[in-house]
Amino acid sequence: MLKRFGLVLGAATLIALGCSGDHGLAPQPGRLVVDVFFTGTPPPTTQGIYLIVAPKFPPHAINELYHIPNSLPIDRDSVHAVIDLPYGHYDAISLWWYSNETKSNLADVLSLPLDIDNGLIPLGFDLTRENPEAFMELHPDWGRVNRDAYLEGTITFNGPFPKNTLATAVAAYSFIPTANVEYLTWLKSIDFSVGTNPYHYKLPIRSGTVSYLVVLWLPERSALTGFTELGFLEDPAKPGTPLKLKIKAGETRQGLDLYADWSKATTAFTARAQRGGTE
Amino acid sequence: MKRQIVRLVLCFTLLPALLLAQATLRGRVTDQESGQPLPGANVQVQGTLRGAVADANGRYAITQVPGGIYTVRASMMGYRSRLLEKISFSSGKEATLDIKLKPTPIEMDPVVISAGKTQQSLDQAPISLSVVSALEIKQRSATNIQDALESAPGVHFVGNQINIRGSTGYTFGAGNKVLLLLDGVPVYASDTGEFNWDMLPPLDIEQIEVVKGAGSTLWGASALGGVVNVLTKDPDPKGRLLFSYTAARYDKPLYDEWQWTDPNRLHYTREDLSYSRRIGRFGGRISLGRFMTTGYTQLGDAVKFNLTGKFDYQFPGGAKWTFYNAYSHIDRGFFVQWKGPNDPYEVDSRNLGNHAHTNQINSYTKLVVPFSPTFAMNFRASLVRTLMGNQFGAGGSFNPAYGEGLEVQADWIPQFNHTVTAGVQFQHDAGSTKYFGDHKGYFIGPFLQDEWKMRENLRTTMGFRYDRYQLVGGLKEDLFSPRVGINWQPWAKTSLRASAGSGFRAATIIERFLELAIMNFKIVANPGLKAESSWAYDLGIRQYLTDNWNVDVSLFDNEYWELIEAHMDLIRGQVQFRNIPRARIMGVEATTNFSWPFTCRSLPITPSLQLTATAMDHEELEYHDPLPYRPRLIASGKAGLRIAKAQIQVEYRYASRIQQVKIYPINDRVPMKFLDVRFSYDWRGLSFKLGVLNAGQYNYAPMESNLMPMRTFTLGLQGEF
Repeated sequence: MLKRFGLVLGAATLIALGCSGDHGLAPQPGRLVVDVFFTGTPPPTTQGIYLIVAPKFPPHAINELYHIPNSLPIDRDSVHAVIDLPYGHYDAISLWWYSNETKSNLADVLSLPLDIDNGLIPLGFDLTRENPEAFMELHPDWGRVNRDAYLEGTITFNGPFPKNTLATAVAAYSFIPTANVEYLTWLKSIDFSVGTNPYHYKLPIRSGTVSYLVVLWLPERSALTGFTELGFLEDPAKPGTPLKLKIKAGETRQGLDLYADWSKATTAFTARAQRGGTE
Repeated sequence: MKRQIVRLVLCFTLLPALLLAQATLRGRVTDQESGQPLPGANVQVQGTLRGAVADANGRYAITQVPGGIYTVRASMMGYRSRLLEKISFSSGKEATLDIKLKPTPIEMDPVVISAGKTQQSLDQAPISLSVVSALEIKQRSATNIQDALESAPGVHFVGNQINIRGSTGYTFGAGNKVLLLLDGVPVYASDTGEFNWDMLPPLDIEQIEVVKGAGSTLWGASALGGVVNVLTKDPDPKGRLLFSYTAARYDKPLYDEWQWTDPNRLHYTREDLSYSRRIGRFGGRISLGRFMTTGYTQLGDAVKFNLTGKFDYQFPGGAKWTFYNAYSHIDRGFFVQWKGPNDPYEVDSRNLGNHAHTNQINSYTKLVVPFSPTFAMNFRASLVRTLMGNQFGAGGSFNPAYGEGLEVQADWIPQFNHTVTAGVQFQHDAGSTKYFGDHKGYFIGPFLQDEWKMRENLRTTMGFRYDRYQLVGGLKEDLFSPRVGINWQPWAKTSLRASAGSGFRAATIIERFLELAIMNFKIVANPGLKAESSWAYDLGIRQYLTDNWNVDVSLFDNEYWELIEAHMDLIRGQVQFRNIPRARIMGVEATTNFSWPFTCRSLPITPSLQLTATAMDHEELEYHDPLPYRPRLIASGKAGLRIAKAQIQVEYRYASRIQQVKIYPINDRVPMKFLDVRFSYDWRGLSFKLGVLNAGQYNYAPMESNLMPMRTFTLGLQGEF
């Protein structure tokens, strides 16, 4: 009897082990090797910097990004980093700066290499079975996140916030964005905490030129670049034209009041819905 | 109505006379094959509230049975239940009925209590319900309640959160959409609404009943998507010592690059000891348990202790008082998420040192007073005290959370064909931490249900409950939960059922008020969260193809309103619990149980098979997205072969790939495919066990960045004396 039972037991074990062809999750087969060469010194408010890889750029949401779990060292002139990834095409790579003082800001991109030959779109790379490893160099300038000035003013809305509001923001751009992707690439600073009417803002910014100061709105289920402009800072001398600002280090430019018109949001949202949902 | 009142008055005033005019049933319950007595067997006179448990010699006595012709039901774990029809009782006389029960590897029609708050057979229940017996728990070498439930039809776990037909999804440890009961008493933590699956040693469990779909009409708040009722063993009539020891070793990770420590050191052990005895009218059970694991991940280590006691006293008139207390202490590492897909067993260095401990006391006391054979009152008081600490390095920031409950229930059989259950339940919950402040809330809810036996083979159930929820100093909600059900047995081997029932769950304190920054996310309070509610529609058939083979199929449609789900605001890095206005989970569930006992060359041989599958279509109805953390298909197959005292069991569990997750949608996701192989050999009250869990070395993450255990080898010894 024991012999028979042993046979059954053996057969069952063999069946069990025979089902071992599919093992579910496996290690990521590809890897991106990055050499980072810093310029300048990190701001004292630096919490850490993280290597971010975007399969699609612009990403639909920030959780559609691969990142390393730990901050890269910030006390060195250069750093060597590796991130494990699945095979595939990646649209962009960047270094994300985290402050230990301010909230996370979409403009906290310390470095975003661009493809100069192809219309300044982010530089991508591919990982394949044949070429499972890619190499890139990043040259971040700490000054990019060294916000040494402020823009201050009041935003007045012409009505209540729509129910489908995901976020409302005030943003400063170095150039006027004309395409979706430029809402991220030309961004100098953005504050998503706009939530009352009127709203008093004080936007930390790096000194220099601000070509466009704008109130942006994102509806629920929108992509990160699905912004609708509700109003921008106009040049009083040329109504309808953005006012260009030159901000000095340490300066707080006050009185930059903005007017936000919700009818622009309704129009844009309806148009988007008619085009087939989210973007 | 007037007639009923007169009957009730007569019932009380003429009670002594009635008692004298009533009959007594005595007898002995034995094993049909061996002739051995069956202590602990349950004998019930149907159509009355009278029943008894067999003593150490298998003898029972049921007194105060009104004269008439009745059906008597006898049942016991590991034996096929038996209905003995047309048993005649003459007033003032004594009847004798010896009952023989046949052993069975799979109990096809167990007695359940969760369908109607009174005992009934599973075949007569108007709702879908499945049962996990103590025998199955023993065969699985379950280390806690979660382990025991994993193969129950329609049940699926995401992390440690239970889903009954996709009810809960994954709520990040804040609120279950299923109600967990211990002997009918709610046992969720008052602040988080979470369950402690380690609250009692598995040796204490007699049976676990899983009600599919909303069950608030009888069970109250939190029974939104189902009810799990853990029934503990009563003290043994002749004194019984149980012990269990399980040791397990985790295999090394499948991929060398995942190895993070010396794999030889990764193991767990579980030891349990339980003794119970009945001396005269007094019975008691005391159990001790300890579970220790190194974990299979960094911060996976844990030490858990249990101390439980159950005591009862049976008064001469048939009244019974019960006191139960379970203390558990858990000290464990706090693994939130892996370091990365190439380091799945490690955590980010920022999280190293995260430890959590939980102390929990679950206590209840019950008094059942049978005023007559057709009228009984049940009184119950309960306390759940939970103290968490050191979560996210926040030592000393938590105060104990208290949940106190009171319930009075009347069971009344006003006519032979009606069973009325009515009562009122009060529940008070309080929680306090620096993260959500001090908050208290309470429910009070009267309920009423009538089971009407229209014909011998046709039963209907109608009931309702009204609840008032008041958050002290905050919102107030009124909830009405009706239900209706029908069970029809048109032929001897066919049982049809249909039901529509409602459920609700008020947001927990933690869902409404938690404010916490964790890693790069901030959890934001939402004090205005509304209670979520549901309607569950169920249509089922249970068909016996032979005495040892049945098939159960049900169609279900669970409609949800204001479902509470975690909302990720990825723009601002915030998490907030919000209401989803409408959602729906509908599908089909099929289960078949088969066993074929035969003898070959004087060896008793029993092959057995259980197959179950639940296919679900779930979506939120505003944007028509799938609901997060819910698979479309869950299925399991369990094949067993018993030859004399040896048994082998092969179990396969499958869950389709989860379509939608909240945090890392770009992480790889795969279906769940687990294969467990278990072997046991019984010898003189001892049971030797060997097991290989996740024998195929399958790597599965039920939610993002959390891998389930790799292949695990277990060795166990259980004894019963």
